[in-house]
Amino acid sequence: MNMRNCFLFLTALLFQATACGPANAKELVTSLSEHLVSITSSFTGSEILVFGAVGETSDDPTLSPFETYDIAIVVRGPPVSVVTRNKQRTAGIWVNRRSVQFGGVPGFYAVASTGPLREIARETVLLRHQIGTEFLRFPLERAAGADDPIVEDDYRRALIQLFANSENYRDEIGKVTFLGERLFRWTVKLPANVPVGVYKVEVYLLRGGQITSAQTSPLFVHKIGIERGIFRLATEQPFLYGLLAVLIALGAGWAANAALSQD
Amino acid sequence: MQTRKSGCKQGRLDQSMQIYLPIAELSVNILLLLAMGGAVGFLSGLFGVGGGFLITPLLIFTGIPPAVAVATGANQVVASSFSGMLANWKRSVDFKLGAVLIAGGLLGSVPGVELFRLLNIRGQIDLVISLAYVAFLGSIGSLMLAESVRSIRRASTPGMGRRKLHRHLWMHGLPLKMRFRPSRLYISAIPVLVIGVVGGLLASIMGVGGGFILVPAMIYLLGMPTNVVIGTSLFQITCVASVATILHAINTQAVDVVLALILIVSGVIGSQWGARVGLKLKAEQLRGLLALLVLLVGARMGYGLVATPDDLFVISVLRP
Repeated sequence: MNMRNCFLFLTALLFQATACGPANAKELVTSLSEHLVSITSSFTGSEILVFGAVGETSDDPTLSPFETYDIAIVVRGPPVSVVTRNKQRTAGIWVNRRSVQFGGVPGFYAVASTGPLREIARETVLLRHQIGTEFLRFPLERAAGADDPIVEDDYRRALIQLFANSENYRDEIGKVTFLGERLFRWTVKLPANVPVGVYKVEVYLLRGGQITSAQTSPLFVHKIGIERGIFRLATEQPFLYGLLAVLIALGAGWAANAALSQD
Repeated sequence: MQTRKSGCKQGRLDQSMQIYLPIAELSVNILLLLAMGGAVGFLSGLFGVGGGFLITPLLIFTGIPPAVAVATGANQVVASSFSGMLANWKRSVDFKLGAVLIAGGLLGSVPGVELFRLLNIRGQIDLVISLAYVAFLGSIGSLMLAESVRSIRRASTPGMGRRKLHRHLWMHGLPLKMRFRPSRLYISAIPVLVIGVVGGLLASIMGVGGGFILVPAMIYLLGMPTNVVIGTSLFQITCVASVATILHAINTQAVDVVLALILIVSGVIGSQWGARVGLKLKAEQLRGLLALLVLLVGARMGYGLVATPDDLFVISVLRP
C-alpha cells in the first residue's frame, strides 16, 4: 500500500467516523415518491408517498437495542398571511365585524405519526417544531377589535378548523405504518385547491419523547401548461390579460351571432 | 392584494369531470358549470335579458369566491350582450345616446372597481354584493311583477286608458340639451349620463350588465322608443362590461377566462333554445315570470344575509 492509498483510506475512515457520530445522519433515511406536483386543467388532487428507513440504532450505550422509536411526518405548504373574520348579527344581518390577521400560516399542513402525539413527544418539542395542528402558532400581524389574547386564540382555532374543512389541514395520527422493523410509509393527500409553492416534508425520529434525528425534503407544487400561462399573464400582464379576456368574449359573441343568423 | 377563499363548498362529484380554474384556484365539476351556463343562457334567451344577475349569484352559491364570480360575470356579460347587439344591429342603435351612456359608464366603473377592491381588502365585499342584489332585484322585481299583473288585467278588461306616450318631467328642464335623432328625443345629456354612471357602478360591483335597470330607465325616464332601447342598451352594456372586465383584471386580478369561456359557450347554446321557447309565450306572461325569477334570486341572497351561517368565522388568504 503506497502513501497515497493509505491517505485515502484514512480519510475514508475519518468520514465514516463522523458519519456515525452522535448526530447520526444515517439513522434516518427518507424520500418521496415525487418531488414535483403539477397542476393541470384536470388536477383533482394528488397523493405523495413519504417513505424511509430507520438505520442501525446509534452507538449510544444508554439506549437499549429494544428501545422503541416513533416517527412523525409534517408536510408544510408555503407560508401566507390569513385574515380571520368573525361574523356578528347587526341589525338582523350577519356582518364581518372583528378580524385578526396572522402571518406565516402554512397554506397546507399535514401531520402523521406512529402514535398519539402527546405520547410520542414532549409538549415542548411539539410546540417548538410545530408538530400537530393543535400546536400550530402564528405570529399576529394585525388585529381589528380583537386584541385580547384569549380572543386571538379563538381566531387561530377557527382558522385551523376552516383550513381543515377545506382539507388543507389534516391530522393523521397513527397513520404512519411500519413495514417490518425499520421501513415506514405514509401517503399524504393534496386536495384539488392546494396552494402552489415550495413545500417542506419533515420527518422526525423520536425516542423517549425527544427528537433524535430529522430529515427535510422539498416538494414543489406548481401549475404547468395553459394554467400556468393564464395565471402568469393575469398576474404579470393584467392589462393585456383583461384585453384578451374581452377579445375572447367579443369573438365568442360574434361567433354565436354568426351561427344564429345561419338558421 | 387579492384574497382567495379557502374552501370549496361543492360536494364530491364525479372526480373525472373536474376542471381546475386557474384564477379561482379550485376545481369544479365541468358538467355543473355547463348546466348553470346553459340554464342561465336559456332564461336570458327566453326573457331577452343578459343573465349577469343570475350567473354571479349562482357562481357564489357554488363556492366560487365572490370577487372571481363578479369579475368573471362581467366578462361573460361582454359575450352575451355583444351577440345580442349584433342581432339588433340592423334595427336601431342610437350611437350618440349610447356614447353619452358609455361616458357615464366609464365615470361609474372606475370608482366602482376601486370601491370593490377596498371592500375586498376590508372583508365587506360579500356583504355589499348581497345587499346590492337584494336591494336592486327586490325593487325591480316588485315593480316588474306589479306592472305585468296590471297589464295582464288590462288585457282581460278592455277599454282601460292607455299610458301617455310622452310625459314632461322635471329633468326635461335641465341644461346641456342634445338631439338624439334615432330616439326622436331632444333632451338634456345629464340624466343620460347619470343612468350611464349607475350602469357602470352596477357592472363593476355586481358583475351584471345592468340591463334590468337601464332598459326601464331609458323607456320610462328618458322616454326612448322601445325598439331603439334594446340595441342601444346592449351597445352600452358591451362597452361598459368590457371596461369593467379590464379594470377588474388590473385591480382585483379575479377574471377567470377558463370559467368565463365555459359559461359563454354553454350560455350561447342555452339562449338559442330559450329564444325559441320564448316565441311561444305571451309578452305579459314572460315579464311576469321574469319578475318572479328576479324576486327569487333576490330572496335567496337576502336569506343568505339573515340566516345563521354554518360557521361564524371566515378566512381569506392574502396572496403573497
